[in-house]
Amino acid sequence: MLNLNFALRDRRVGVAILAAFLSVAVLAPLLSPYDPHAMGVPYLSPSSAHWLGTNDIGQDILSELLYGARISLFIGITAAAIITLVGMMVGIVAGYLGGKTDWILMAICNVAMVLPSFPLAIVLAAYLGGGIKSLMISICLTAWSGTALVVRASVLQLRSAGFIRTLEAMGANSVRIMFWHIVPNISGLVLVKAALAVCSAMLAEAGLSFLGLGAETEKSWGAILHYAFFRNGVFNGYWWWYLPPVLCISLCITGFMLLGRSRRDSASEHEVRS
Amino acid sequence: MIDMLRFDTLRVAFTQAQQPALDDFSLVIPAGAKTMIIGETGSGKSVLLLALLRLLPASASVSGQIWFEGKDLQSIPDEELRRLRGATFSYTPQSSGSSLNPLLTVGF
Repeated sequence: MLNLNFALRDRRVGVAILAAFLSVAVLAPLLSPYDPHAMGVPYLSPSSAHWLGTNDIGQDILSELLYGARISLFIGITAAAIITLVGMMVGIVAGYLGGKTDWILMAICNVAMVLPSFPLAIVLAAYLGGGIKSLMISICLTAWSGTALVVRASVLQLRSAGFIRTLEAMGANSVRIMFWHIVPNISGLVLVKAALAVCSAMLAEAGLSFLGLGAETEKSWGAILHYAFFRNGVFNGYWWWYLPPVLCISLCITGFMLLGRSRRDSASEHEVRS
Repeated sequence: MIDMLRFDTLRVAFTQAQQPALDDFSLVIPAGAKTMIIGETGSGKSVLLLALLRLLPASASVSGQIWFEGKDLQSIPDEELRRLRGATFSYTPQSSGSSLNPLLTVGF
């Protein structure tokens, strides 16, 4: 019961954080005091005109930050959706069908697991060139394997459950059993993995953009950090340039973590009761 | 009366068990007949039905034949057997608690 209260609190805080970021992302054109691409006086410190100062080419950092929420969240959520969908499909098919299918899918999964994901993403992003699409491919290529393994393990458990045996005895086909009956029963687990996948995708995006391998023309939090670092913002102590994107990334990831954790806690609570 | 269902010297053995679960089991069930199989726990009633539906785990080896309307159920394709399941024969496990999808509503 105590656990459940924590889960509830986690969920509320998580939802509040994410709702705030999502509304900022949606309302960026209304909230931004300036066009994030418009140039002005460089290296201004925070003032009433520019709340977070300006960067090396005089762009308003607050406006960059607000628009940056769009790209960072879009890439994080879309990449996580792809990762989760692919991981879930592979896990369910391997776990339920078993045999040779399982063997082949798990072999591919193991290869994806042993590849060091971030160095591979760097190489891929560099090879494919900048842009959101190549960023997405480099983030998703190996990240699905963790979800696939966890989903497979819980499908193996479910496969021997009475109701699955009954469905088989009633002549339900595999596709129906997998997607109509197994998917809802593992949805709690999948949502936890999805929330964590958003975290790792956003971090990967920030890392790649920081290294200059992201979408260069787009404003993202990682890209702001990239310019703050490579145009000497960090060395000159312009904290208003590099600190806000770091805080935004951390806070947003905390929001997704809390949401994932609350789902996990309430899911395990449900299992205990049933 | 024609034979509807016929078990012919059926033997089911599990790799991890010393004794077979079913050995030399033969039974004829004619069309229209009601047949009850009674036995104590572990005597192989469920194994018999699972063998009929071809739903035994991979660790079970089955020999002998099961004939349904003149077809050997051990050798017909998966898809054909799947269409027979539910429509012509089925199986309901004992524990009702685990026999229903916990996330679906029963009834209307």
